[in-house]
Amino acid sequence: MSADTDEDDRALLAAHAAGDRWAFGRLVGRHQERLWAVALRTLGDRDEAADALQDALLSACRAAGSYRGDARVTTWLHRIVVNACLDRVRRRAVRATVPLPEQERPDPRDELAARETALEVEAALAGLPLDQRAAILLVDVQGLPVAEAAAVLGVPTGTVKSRCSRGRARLAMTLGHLRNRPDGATVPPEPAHVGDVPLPPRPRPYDDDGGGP
Amino acid sequence: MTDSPGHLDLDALADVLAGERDDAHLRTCPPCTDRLAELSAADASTTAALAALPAPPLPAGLSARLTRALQEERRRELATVRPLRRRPPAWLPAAAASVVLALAGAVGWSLLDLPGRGGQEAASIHAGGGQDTASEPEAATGLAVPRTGTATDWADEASRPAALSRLLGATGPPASSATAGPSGEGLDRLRDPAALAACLAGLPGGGDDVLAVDYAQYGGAPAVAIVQPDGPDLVQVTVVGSGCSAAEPEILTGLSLPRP
Repeated sequence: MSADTDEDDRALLAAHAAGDRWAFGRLVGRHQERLWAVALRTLGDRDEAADALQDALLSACRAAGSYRGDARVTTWLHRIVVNACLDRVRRRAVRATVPLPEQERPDPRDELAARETALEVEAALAGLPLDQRAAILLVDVQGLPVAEAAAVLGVPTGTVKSRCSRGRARLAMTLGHLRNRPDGATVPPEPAHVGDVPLPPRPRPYDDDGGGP
Repeated sequence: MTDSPGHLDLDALADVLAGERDDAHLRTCPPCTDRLAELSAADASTTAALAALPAPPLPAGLSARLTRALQEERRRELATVRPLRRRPPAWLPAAAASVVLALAGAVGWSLLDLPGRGGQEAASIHAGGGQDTASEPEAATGLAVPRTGTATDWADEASRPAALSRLLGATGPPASSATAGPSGEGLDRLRDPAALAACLAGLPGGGDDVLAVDYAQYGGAPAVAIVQPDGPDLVQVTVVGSGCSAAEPEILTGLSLPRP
């Protein structure tokens, strides 16, 4: 993201704080697709992601005066959206299923393989511990720098690196990029569901928070 | 943290790979070193697979839903502020009386002190104000809004203060009538009181408390600027396109400006 874009974002946020009725809507319009992707992949449910995104943006709209300008506007928006999603995940009861995002348009046949791969990766992501999933979504999927993701999540950069690396290791096991060791040092996936076919739940020997150092 | 006695588990290896852990065990354990190399190769392919994930499309209607929710939020904010503004503070009648007395004294003083040219100016401004501020209240539609045409381009930041002062009569008589300013099919439509009333109704917060309507332009295109109070020190200027209606207000921008 360029500095110019951030300057534009700051100008819109300042205009909103100064009373411009439409500035915040224009700011949202610039970033809503990326924020939607984060919300959907964090929550795994379209309706809940839409509700979380709306709640988060209304919260940001009301709290614009508290923006201190020490982070990018997009970092600030991501932080509010991610926190809204994490709060929802933590509040809700353990879900029986993690619905996969629906695809709104049919893909051509020559894209089927890529689409299947993407669905496998999405399903594996949905099975990661929440903290690892959030870190991977920000860094590896959305492409945020580690320092920015750390600011969004409110944790040290080392923790983000660790969560991403541990999460990718789990994904590698689930996706078959890494073979299981015969000596038993394997990482079982979180209980996850692909479509309507549930994967068998397996015990987790790891900490629930998925956090690192 | 090991699953097999004497060997690093996957989380520990992942931390080493991330540069967040330095384990001496790796220097003496070929199986763990091999496993780390394996994990490193898998990490690269997993990273590539994640980066290649297509962005999920924004669901149809979500963008409009977010826009509506944000507009409604703003509407609620205005609704909670406006009733307070409508209630005059207790000190206002006394202050207003003082201002009237002071003005009357000042005018009287100027007429007495400068009976020549100054008196003529004062009379002229008074007469001009009486004539030009004759807005066009539309009793038939219930729309009693001063409508003017300054031809200001509201996209030009430098022009706004002077235009606003003229619109609100702070620095002389405002432009005189709704027929002034740029013309054109779109703006002519909004000169019709019913069409204008519908346009005002489409604004967030409704079209109440309108101080002035200016037939003008925005970025060179015909536009209408609607001036509304926004607290004691500010006014809100909403600039709409010539197609403004209750359903589609065609809002081009909203400006919060100091009240002249």
